Amino acid sequence: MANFIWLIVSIIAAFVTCSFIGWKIARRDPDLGKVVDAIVSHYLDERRFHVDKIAEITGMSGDKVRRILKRLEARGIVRGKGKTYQLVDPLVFLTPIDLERARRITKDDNILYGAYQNPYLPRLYFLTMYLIFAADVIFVLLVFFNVLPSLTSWLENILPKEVSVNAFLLFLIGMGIIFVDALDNIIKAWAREKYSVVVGEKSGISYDKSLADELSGKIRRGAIADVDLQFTLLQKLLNYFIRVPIGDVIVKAKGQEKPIVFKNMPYPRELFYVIRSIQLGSLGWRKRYARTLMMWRARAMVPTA
Amino acid sequence: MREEEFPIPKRLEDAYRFKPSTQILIYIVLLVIGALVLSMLKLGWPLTIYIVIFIVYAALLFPVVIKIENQWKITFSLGLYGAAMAAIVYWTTTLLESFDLRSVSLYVLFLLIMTVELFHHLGEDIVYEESKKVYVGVAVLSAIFFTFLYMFLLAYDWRITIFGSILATILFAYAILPEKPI
Repeated sequence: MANFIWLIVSIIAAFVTCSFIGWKIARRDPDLGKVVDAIVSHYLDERRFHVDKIAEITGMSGDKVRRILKRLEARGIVRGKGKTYQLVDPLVFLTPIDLERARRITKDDNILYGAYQNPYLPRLYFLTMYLIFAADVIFVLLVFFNVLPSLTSWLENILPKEVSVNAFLLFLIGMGIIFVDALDNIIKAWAREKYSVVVGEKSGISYDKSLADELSGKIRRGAIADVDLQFTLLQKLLNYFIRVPIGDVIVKAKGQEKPIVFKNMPYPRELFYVIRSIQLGSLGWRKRYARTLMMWRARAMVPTA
Repeated sequence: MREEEFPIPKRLEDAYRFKPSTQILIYIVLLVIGALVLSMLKLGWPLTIYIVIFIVYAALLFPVVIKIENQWKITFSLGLYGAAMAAIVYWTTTLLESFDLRSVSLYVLFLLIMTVELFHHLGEDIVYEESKKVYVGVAVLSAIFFTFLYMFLLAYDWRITIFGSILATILFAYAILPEKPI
């Protein structure tokens, strides 16, 4: 009974303490909102701005503005160079290196969308890495419940005498989690190298065709005949639960029989809108929704209560 | 389609997700199913262990099902993190059967990994910010990881001790580094 009470009390105490910390962390920062507003109202379309200028508009001190801009930079919302910054388009999810590459290749075009294809869905075999963790868990369970006594005694033999088997089993589970997490990072980094799609205001759509490619796939703005958006049942279902929603965007280019399919692209509806708007040659909607998009991009910093 | 017809919701993800009320309902239904399955298991464990499993299940499920983004969600998410960590620490102490330094090192390593990985899971809005503070945190945690793993591996050949500790620490540091959401 004492154990039960101890457990319940410690769970409740930890819940309340961490909730309080969470509430503090997630609090709205009015100064950040002011800086975001100042940038969106005056410096859209990647125009450069100086820290002092934002300080002047917001009436805040230069140091405070600089601190907030550093936080926005860490989130990939603005890019800094010395004391000047520029707004990164909210639909650009490229790493700074890839963004530079995209700018170079599109001859310093205004990049409206840039992202990487989901690394797992086209190559489901990557998910087999979770089998390693499953095997790890099965091994731990077999030893913990002593299902195969020979396996348990083998483990006891290879461990130093005083070491607890249970402690080692816990360590094995922990290392399994770490191994899968590290492998997941490697797969994502590899996918970043290979499958990026960039949409520029004037340059149209540029995309990687192979691992060593430098955005050699191109569909010029004027060559876009039609664009379509599609979700498979699996994508529709996954979108309810995965962090970044995905879908297929199909582009028909003039003079080409086969359409080009960008599979499992992040935020496909927005990619569709961006392609449609460069096809129409009008970016009015993007300007109209600039604040919404930027506030969304900074969402974890400016939580909506 | 004219460009005026391009509707952008306040949160772009909303167009792809269930309504918040549906998300909460699914979460509650899955919690009830989890509790039902646990109540049917006859493993002869004390009630406290079932409570620990249920709390950890609730914590793991929460960010997968609940995609609402507001202050309440972050608050509840971190609250669940605290509750799950308290439950895991309790459960780990019940498993303590040896106070040998190497065994204690393994318990500490397990708790360290769970602390970081569970935070990664439940505090996803906080963890991916790349800043000096985060990198210092990763360095400190990696140093702690290295020290305890080194203490455990001391019982083996020196090559295993040194290279095993270094390789596992690199893996640990790489796994816990802040990662981009896309």
